[in-house]
Amino acid sequence: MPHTQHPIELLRFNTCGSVDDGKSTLIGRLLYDSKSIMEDQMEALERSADITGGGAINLANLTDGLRAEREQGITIDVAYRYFATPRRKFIVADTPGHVQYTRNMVTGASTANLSIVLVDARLGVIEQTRRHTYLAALLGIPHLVIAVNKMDLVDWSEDRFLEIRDEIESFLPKLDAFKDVKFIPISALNGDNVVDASKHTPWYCGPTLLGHLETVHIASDWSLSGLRFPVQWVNRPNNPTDKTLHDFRGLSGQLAGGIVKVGQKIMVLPSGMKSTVKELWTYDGSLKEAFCPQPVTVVLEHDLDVSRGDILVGLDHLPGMASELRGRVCWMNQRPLQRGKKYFLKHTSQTVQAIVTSLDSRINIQTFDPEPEPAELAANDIGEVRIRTAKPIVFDAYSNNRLTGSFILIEQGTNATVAAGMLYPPTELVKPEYNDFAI
Amino acid sequence: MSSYHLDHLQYLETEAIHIMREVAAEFERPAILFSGGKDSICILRLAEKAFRPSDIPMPFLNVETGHEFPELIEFRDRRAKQLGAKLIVRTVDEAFAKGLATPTPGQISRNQPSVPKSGTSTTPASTPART
Repeated sequence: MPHTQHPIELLRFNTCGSVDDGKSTLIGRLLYDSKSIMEDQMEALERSADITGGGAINLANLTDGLRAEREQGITIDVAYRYFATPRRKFIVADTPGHVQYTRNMVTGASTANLSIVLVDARLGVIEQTRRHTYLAALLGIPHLVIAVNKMDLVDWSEDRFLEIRDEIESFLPKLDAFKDVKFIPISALNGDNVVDASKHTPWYCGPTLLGHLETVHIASDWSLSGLRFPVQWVNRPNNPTDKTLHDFRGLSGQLAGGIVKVGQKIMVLPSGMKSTVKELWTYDGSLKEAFCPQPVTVVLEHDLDVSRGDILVGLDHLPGMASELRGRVCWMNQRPLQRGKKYFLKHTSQTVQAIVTSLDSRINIQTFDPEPEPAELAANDIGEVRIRTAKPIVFDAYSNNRLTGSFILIEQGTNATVAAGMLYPPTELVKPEYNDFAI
Repeated sequence: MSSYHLDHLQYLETEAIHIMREVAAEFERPAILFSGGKDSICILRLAEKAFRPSDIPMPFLNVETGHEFPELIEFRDRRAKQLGAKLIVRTVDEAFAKGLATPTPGQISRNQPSVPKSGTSTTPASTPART
């Protein structure tokens, strides 16, 4: 392999499918064909093929580790699998079962660049297909692949493939999501159009699944437009033996959006105090500029009172700031969401008290329509809520920034994470002249 | 081609640093498990990247199996000292003696003792027992 000009990128994706639609086989096929299987694992697999498979390797066995773990009574919500090609490294979030499907998918897909929704060519679009596609849209996953599997069982019929594609395309615009959507006819079992192009689909001119995973443009998946720097940890060495370190006061965190430069004017929210970036400190040396999602330690010109939970923003592309929030939540707990109950809300690096003041609707997964004023939200339900927080939250719409637009609700007492939330756009943005006093 | 680009290792590093800082900020008594082996050497470097120029704000913890090479112990102690960290050392024998862990039947390796679930008394009765 010649040296590639670009650095190796990392693509995270998840696979969605119901039982028996070939999810395990597909992941097994990707691992097997990309030669990412350890030698000992490979030998065990070939041995089991001789005994049980009549000579053919059962690819689904590759992901059976999960099943074994579950039989031992160990709960695994999401298993991550790794494979690589010379162009990219891949992390697959494998979410077993469909009982806790919504919860697991929210966990596995929250950092994904891409979702693969598997459709059984014989069954076509079923409720699970709509649910998975909707969830991928809801979670703001930028890229979608509809893998129409088991094409060998419908005689590689182009008509059947187009029928499924048309049906999904008829509801995609309603979701108002995805940078790109790819439809690929495959047979995970035989490997057609997974890694190598199939000779059975002369009518299909698109890429193979792996070809698409290797080339889909992901460099723009992070938001680089508005500077967002939630302060995670105040970095104060207080070292009495080293003068330079004694006075060092940095703000450690990870850029959740945009680009920050030395000399740039910034505002601290919620206080509104302004300062200038003096240094961008990292262990590997100071930087002139840093970008999302890099971690840095920011040193400001002025000694402002800044602590964990505060957020530094640039003076353009300002965020919203409110204690009345609206958004969608995926409910993940057996005890349903109830209006008026107190929870903790964790948003970027701060945790505040919050009350769900109103439960506006519950989303009907069949039609994607909101059904107004449900009594409660049960586990795996998705609904629109209004929340009041004890302190104002500095945020963006989830559709603009998945880091500053998301939150979780934590149950008080048990500390269980009961909901994952995605915020609607703010009704009012922070004004640049807000609380403008010089130090 | 923009320069606003991380390769796969840099990207994974950003996540690790983020998690370490969250742990330092949110937990009461965190510790870094440091055996002196290759994985924990990597963890220490990540901790340096997360917390420098400050000291790493949590102690290191090693549970000795009793099967370590002396060079490993020497390296573990030296590295902890270099980084100015407090090193807490406990042993598997100690854990056996206190009943915190029991040798796993049929297991020769002392790296994998059986550890009863913590807080057994508060565990719901419905939790399946591990056999």
